[in-house]
Amino acid sequence: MSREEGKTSSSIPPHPRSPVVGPLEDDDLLLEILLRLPPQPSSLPRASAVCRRWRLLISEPGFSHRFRRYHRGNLPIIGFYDRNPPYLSFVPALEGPDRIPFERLSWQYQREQELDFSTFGCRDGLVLVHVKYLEPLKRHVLVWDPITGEQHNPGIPPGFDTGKRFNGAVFRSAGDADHFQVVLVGNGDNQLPVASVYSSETNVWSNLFSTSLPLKYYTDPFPSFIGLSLEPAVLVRNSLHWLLGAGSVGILEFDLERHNLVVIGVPVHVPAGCHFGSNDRFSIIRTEDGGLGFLSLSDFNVQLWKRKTEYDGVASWVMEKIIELDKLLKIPLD
Amino acid sequence: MATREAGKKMIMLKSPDGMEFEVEEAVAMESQTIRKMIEDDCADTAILIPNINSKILSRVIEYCNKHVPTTGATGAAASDTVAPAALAEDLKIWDAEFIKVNRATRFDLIQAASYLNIKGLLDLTSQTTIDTISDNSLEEIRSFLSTKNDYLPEEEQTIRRENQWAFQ
Repeated sequence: MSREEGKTSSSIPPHPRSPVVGPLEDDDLLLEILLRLPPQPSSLPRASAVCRRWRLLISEPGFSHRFRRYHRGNLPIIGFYDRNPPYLSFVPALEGPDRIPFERLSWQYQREQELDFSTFGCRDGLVLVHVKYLEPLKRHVLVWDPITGEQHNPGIPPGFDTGKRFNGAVFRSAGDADHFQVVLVGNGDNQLPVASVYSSETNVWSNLFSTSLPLKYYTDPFPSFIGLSLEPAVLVRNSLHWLLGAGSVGILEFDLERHNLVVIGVPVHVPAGCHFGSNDRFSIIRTEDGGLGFLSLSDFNVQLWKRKTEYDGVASWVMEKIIELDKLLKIPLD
Repeated sequence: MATREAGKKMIMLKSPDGMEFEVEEAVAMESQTIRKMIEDDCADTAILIPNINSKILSRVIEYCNKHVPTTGATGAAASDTVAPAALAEDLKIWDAEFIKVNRATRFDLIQAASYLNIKGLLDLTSQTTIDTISDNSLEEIRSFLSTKNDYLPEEEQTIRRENQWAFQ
């Protein structure tokens, strides 16, 4: 299919650089190659030690963003944060040479008496830090990038009661490695559950989205409080979910696309007098098929429920299975 | 934009060493650079591809020929067509064979893929280059890629010390 003769009437623009330069001498092409280094933590520090030029390219600010974007969806879990206040220490999960020492990524701060730090969870390389002043009682959040050390204080949405418990989540939108969003849920000045979304791109909080809440979800001794657990949000499809506590257990769901805040009941009966402390009996999970799930622990049995939506749009809980922990973990029962 | 029937419109690609390759327009349009020329109506029936010799150009065409989506009846942009799992698996095996070339040829293919903007080929060639150096020591990486270590010994020590954990 090749011939020696022919008439050429158009040409694509010639390469701006000399073709004799190999791809490793061409910054753009070397970048393309380095982007494909495995996303393991040791990759970039090691490649930086190859030669000066590699180090220069890798340490350019745009590179880490591109690297993250390229490997999005395939990034390893490098560890987690022990979220028991007042500490916020990193626990590495990988083996050497990808085991980042805990000092490197732990929250460094001057220990102050009146401050408590904990986290509302991590997502997409960012940590949502919950800062609590004890006297007077008020709270705010910080978005922290443990790798770069950058901190960002988005402030608090207007109309949000920071004297009462709230929760939140941080995330990056698909395909946007440069910006992040924060969702906070908590008590509004109107005593209803509210949610607001912050965008680092515009640097503003949205209006409050609110929903009515059956009385049973308010904290027992303090009826003006919404019992909200401090467990990190669970992202299922395009909605974030937090556990509600107090006299009854429920799920607060915020749809990130439609900005819709709703309360979902749970499939188990919670005995009267069951307070926050007993919330570790319940968990929201993302099921293996990517749907919303709910775990309920009773003695050594875990009930796994799945949220199923029928054709008519009505959603209900379906019991998937009972996991017998004593058999699974081979715990001898006296 | 010139939308043409998914028929057999042919186009001539010419390398600077005087060789001509007659390919289906759809195959040539695997290159985003060429696609843009055609869509902007800047292309005649023959296009000169500077900088890429006939040996490499023929390999690039071979790649595009294999990767051009089988003409879907949908009329949607060809690149949107999702290959079924079996086809994707077949392509993976074919790619693995295709890229069994020496380093110089692979580097030429990286340049061609970047220049002609063929994402799949750039992925394949760059990833293969990275795969050949992963799991190797710094000395081996430098030697595989003929990259000179221009650090002073004490500088390299400092850099290693900064992230000592990554070298353990």
